[in-house]
Amino acid sequence: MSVALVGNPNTGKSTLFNALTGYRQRIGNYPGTTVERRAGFLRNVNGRAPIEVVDLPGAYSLAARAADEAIVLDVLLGRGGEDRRPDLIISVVDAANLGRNLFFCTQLLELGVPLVVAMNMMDLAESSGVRINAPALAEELGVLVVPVVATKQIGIDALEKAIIDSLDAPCSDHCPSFPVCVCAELDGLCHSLADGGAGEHHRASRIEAMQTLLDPGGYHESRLVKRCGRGLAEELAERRRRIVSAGESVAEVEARVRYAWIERVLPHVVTRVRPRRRSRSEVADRLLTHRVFGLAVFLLMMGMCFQSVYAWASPIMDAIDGAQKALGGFFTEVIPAGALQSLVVSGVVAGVGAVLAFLPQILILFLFLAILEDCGYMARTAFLLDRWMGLFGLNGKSFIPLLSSFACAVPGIMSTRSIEDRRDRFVTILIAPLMSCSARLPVYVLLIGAFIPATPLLGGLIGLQSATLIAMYFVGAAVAIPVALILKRTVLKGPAQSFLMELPTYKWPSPRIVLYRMYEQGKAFCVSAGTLIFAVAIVVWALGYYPHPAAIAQAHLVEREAAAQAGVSAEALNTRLAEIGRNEAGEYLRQSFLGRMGLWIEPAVKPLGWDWRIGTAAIASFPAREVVVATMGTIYNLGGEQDETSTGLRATLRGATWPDGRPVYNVAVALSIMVFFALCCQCGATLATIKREMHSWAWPVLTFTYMTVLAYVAALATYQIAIRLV
Amino acid sequence: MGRTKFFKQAPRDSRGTRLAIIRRFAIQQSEVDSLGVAMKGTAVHDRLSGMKTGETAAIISIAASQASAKRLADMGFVRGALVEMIRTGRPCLVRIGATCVGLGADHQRSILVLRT
Repeated sequence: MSVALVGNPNTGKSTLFNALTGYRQRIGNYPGTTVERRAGFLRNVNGRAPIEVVDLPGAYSLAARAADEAIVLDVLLGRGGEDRRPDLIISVVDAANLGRNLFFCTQLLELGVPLVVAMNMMDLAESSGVRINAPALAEELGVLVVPVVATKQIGIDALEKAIIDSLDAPCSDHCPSFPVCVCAELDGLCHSLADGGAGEHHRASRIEAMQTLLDPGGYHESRLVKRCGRGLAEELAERRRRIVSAGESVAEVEARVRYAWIERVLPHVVTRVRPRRRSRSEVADRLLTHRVFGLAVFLLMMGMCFQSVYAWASPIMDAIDGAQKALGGFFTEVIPAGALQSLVVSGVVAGVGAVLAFLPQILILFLFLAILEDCGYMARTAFLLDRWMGLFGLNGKSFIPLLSSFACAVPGIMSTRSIEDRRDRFVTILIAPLMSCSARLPVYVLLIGAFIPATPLLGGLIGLQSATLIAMYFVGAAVAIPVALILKRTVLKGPAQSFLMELPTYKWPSPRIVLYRMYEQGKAFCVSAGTLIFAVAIVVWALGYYPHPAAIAQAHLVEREAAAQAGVSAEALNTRLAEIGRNEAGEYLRQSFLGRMGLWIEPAVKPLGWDWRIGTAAIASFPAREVVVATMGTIYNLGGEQDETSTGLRATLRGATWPDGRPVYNVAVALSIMVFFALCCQCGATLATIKREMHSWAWPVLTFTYMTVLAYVAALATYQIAIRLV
Repeated sequence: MGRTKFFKQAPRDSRGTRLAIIRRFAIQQSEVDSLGVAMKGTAVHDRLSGMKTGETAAIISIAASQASAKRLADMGFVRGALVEMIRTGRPCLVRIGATCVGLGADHQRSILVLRT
């Protein structure tokens, strides 16, 4: 048994899903948060067989345009392998916006599946001054209508009962009637589809035929034509011609008939008890969607976000650095010197610990994005930036996936499913990894903290460090513009699509949802630190430790004895011994597998100002960018450069030197590394997601190649320019 | 034809009456066609892009590609529906029913409205 939650975007399907199943899933107040099918089980089934609840993306109509709407259709019409047709549909409607929501609801009624209407957001409807008569609506639709407030868990029990009661109920036959000419063509089409072996002859086929006939060039038509051949395309064209000659508009007739039916029904259902007032949402939009103020508010918020990522997290980060150092010291004492000590201290503590130190920043970034998503501001950013997205050859709808890519490109790429135009969607996917995701944050923060002075700018409003951070975020976005334009002019050529998007009502962000989002991301980050990064750190450690030839130890033993016999003061002896120790560790590292590989690639990275250690760390970070921090931690610790006096990796980097004693790092090198990581595509998960969304390995290969070339060239330019300026 | 006569007899300045007619007969193509002819004569129809902030207008028709027209119609932009201009520009912000919708330049141009 399975029931599907279906409805317009922003009607609270996911909130309802969580209330029904006790399952938590990501909820955002912008269209397209749910882009795939998700399932859980109904909590209370009173001894019946378990009932699966499926949460689907939002859609405005059965005539699919975007990839997420196609997912809804495939589930509702029982296509696509494992997804059986649902046994019942829960049509989720927004009570405050019943007219528009009922359009989709009347389409769902004709699917021939039992249906229950969950009328959500009753509280908002009442506060906007309308009273809704649910029984009257039930009467008109011929199905059960349950008023609910999903966010406050009101009406959930009644909904569960209605679901169970309606599972075996007959389907409603209340539906608007279409003009004669449309009905005749529809009957004809149904017949020829059934004769032509178009397949399953269930009741849904009539509504499917309607969507095929009345949505020229839509999803249904292209799908059926693919299956039945060109003959069907000609038949459809002929039938549409007949509808037009009967005086109807093919594209609009369905909407007109359904909205006319709704217009007739609504007065019986909705009574306005208070005249319409300008809602608080509209008042807020007067400022927030203003072309100048709105944009200023947006930039201010983003600036504040990055400033606080830097400023708030610093003390916590210092504490984590301190703890890491103490832990390293503890293990050095507890475990006897040798391979195991080196593995724990250099591989695990210095490697994985270095990455974990960035958890606070990532949590703060997600706090901001979760608040923006939950309050409904995201859709406004799409509206505000529509004209700017024109620079990319895209429209504002592409901005939301790009903005969420600042947290992580994987959900960002998945949320492109709500973009209708295929080419626009592909361009958005290909530039999404250029947005500076949270995995780059550790790299930026590490290098900025170590090499960029904390000079206050603009009278102390913002620090030079935060400004550099913001600049790094801009680098990716700025490079994305020409990339998108080139893609739009060449491989993904097509006209710019006009903006069309609903702006949902603002609401206060729910602390539960925001905190859950932070927890979820924090957990994902820690899990990746504990698995992937851990594994890479160990591999890097092993490559950097072995073969560990005994000859080096012997050579340095001789030196140590020579120093001891030189008869200098105790203090000078200690300094000399420490120096020998560092030399020994450095010698080991150079002789290791990693060191030999590194020296081999050094010529390629030297023009960027990097030494072989940075180059190796960059290559080792292919699975995920943040690994570079762990790898650097391990390499420098193995190389003996992380001495007793330095706190954490930042100080170690400041002390790193070339063999001739010059420091490796300066501002130019730090900038070059940051620019490289801003633009490269060192992320296995992103590449796998691109493959899944675009159904071909060619695209991830293209993405990786173009981004790596871009990153190398940009890092080269940055270093060569900066070294001459600084 | 009878309806058209009635329309012509309606007072010139009471656009509310005309709106009521459009809304009442939204479903009958022939009626609206004749209304369209009548309205071209009186030049009261306009594109949505020509509306000013705060104005409300009724949609007469959508002159767009079938794909765009279908998308707009499904979202509630059907003949007879009232739209209020909240913010002009590209994109503009309109209220239709209880929803705010952002509309790009092409969509604004393709929606023909009758201003009140």
